[in-house]
Amino acid sequence: MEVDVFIPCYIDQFYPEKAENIFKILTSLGVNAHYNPNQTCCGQLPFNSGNRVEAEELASKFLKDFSGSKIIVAPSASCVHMVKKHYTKFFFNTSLHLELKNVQSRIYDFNDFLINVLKIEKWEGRLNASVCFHDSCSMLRHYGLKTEPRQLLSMIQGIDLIEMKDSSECCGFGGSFSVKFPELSVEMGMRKLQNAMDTGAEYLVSTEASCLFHLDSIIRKNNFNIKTATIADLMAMSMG
Amino acid sequence: MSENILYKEFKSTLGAQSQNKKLHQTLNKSLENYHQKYLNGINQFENISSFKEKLQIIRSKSILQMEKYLLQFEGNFKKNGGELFWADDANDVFNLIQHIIGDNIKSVVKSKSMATEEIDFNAFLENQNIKVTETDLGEYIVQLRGEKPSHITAPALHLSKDDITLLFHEKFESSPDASAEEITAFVRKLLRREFTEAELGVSGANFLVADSGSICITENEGNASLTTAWPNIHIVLAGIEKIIPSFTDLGYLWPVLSSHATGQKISVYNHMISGPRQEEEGDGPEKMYVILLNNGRDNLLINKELRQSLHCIKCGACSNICPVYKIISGHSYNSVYNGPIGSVTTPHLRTDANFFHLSFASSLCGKCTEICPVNIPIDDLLLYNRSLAVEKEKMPKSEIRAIKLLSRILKSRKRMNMGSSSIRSLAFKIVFRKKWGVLRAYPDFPKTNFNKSRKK
Repeated sequence: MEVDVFIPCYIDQFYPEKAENIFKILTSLGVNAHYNPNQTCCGQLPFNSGNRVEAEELASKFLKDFSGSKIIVAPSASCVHMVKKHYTKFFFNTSLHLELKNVQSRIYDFNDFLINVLKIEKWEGRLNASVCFHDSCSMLRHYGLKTEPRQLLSMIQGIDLIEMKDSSECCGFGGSFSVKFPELSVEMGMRKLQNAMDTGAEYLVSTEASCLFHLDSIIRKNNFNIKTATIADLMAMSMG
Repeated sequence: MSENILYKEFKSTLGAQSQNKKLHQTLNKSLENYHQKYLNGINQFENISSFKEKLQIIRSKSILQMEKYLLQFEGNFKKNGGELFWADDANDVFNLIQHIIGDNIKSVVKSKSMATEEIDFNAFLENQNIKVTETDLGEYIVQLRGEKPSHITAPALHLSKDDITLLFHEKFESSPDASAEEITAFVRKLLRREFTEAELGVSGANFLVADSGSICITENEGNASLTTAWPNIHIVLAGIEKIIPSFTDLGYLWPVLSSHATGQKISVYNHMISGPRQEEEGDGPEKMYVILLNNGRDNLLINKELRQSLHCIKCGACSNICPVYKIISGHSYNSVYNGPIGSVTTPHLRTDANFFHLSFASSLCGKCTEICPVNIPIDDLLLYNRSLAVEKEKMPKSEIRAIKLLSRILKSRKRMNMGSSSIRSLAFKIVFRKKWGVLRAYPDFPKTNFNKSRKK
């Protein structure tokens, strides 16, 4: 299968190894993963900040960068939700209406893609680690998946999933919210981390790297004893 | 207004509020308790999501044809012997009240009404030496403390049981370790006297029913019963959005309101009052008036996005599950309507000041939209408000400009790949020193970003 991979801007900037992991996993599953080097950002950052003009410009660019007919895979339910839902506000009933519908029908979050498109049922890889799972708001409430990420986690041999209290409570990142209201953002993060550490797990795992970006910075500031990883990170680690 | 004084004030309270452990303990205890009851309450619906769709249809029909239904309500209510007035703002209400009561009233009892909170109704009466007593226990408590309610359905949610015991000990010399039951019994006794002495009862309404000309009130304490039936005059102040087409709609609205507000299957008392005492009836007020209040609601009504916020049935569930509300509590919003839906409506209801920052004070986690019993897309409307705020420059120009600048970088692959990791790191530290670095560690910038390393 041929797919186009979208690497969200913050992953591109902060987490090149998380991006590498996506390609590594897809390749190992026999997927031919393409990367258009012109791609930049889905536009969610200006959109969530109310700057719709800039968001629409980025959205138009995204539609161009991902034209064609290949399935689009992105390691972020948040960005995919931006494309699938909010792009409609820009392009519905415009000259780009068909391009919009075309891209919207082809784009998947990485975890969704593995379970519901590739329909993988097992994963060759072992990693002995205890983990707790944070349901990101975008994956759970916006994108609408709860069981798939857990299904994927359970396929990695040696993973011990300990459910945490309030796993569906927000981590407090929220894009520009995290810098406009740092006190609120960090207090929400502290609550999340407390619940995570109460499980005694080695890793706090989520599908959304942006949640982990924020949580990890709180962990390091306070020298908390827990690590963060995406499911894809664990899968890549399990490959040895 | 462009200086965003309220925004600055709001931000200045966050440091203390985010560390207010006592408040958080109080809120967590009540709200965790609420959540268990809520889960039990919605169990009565076989399929809550299809039930919500039905409610969404009822409410959107009510709001889209508001004019028709309000006129129908007016006609039927008057036929039942009531009098009805239309008020555009607080002053209109005050003039009407003056017209209705003249100089003959010394004492007023009130049951819960957020519309009266909107216009500082109590202060208006008290300025004329009229005694006003709130008769809902929570409202009575915040009245004693000289506060506004901190939650639309649970006015004293910010107070612990100990806070309340202490308050009654200070005000009435009750036992410093009185139980909740003892305090309730004490207040009940105290309020009985107020009910029998009051010449006027003032209430709000949960719904206004067009086809029967009735006002509907749902409650658990029985105080609305007495407020609306004992005094000789009953005045209802209700927002125009409370209208619903038919009394048959109550079969849907009442159970869902109760289950979302308090986790009950249905509240203890549910009143439909269609007019003053009729000739053959033994009790009820001699005169009954309804004042329909606009007070900025037309600003929401004329906008097809924001109009959806008028579907709100004021259950308060969105506040109960909001992670931001759970940290800062209601008073921090500085608005009568707080929590997620308040952050949507307040900027448009309160055009005398700039409240747009409230729409930004959300992580957009979507819990409000998920729980809303009438399917208001609250997080979407917050996003919409943000776009209005940028368009109308209701947020600091520096913040709007920063996003524009960042977007310029994000639009160009070349710019996104510019600069070494040390330069990026330095830039991040300079730009986000206060906003990120105080409470969080700075991110580690990799040597090269993904795109650049892949090209190599």
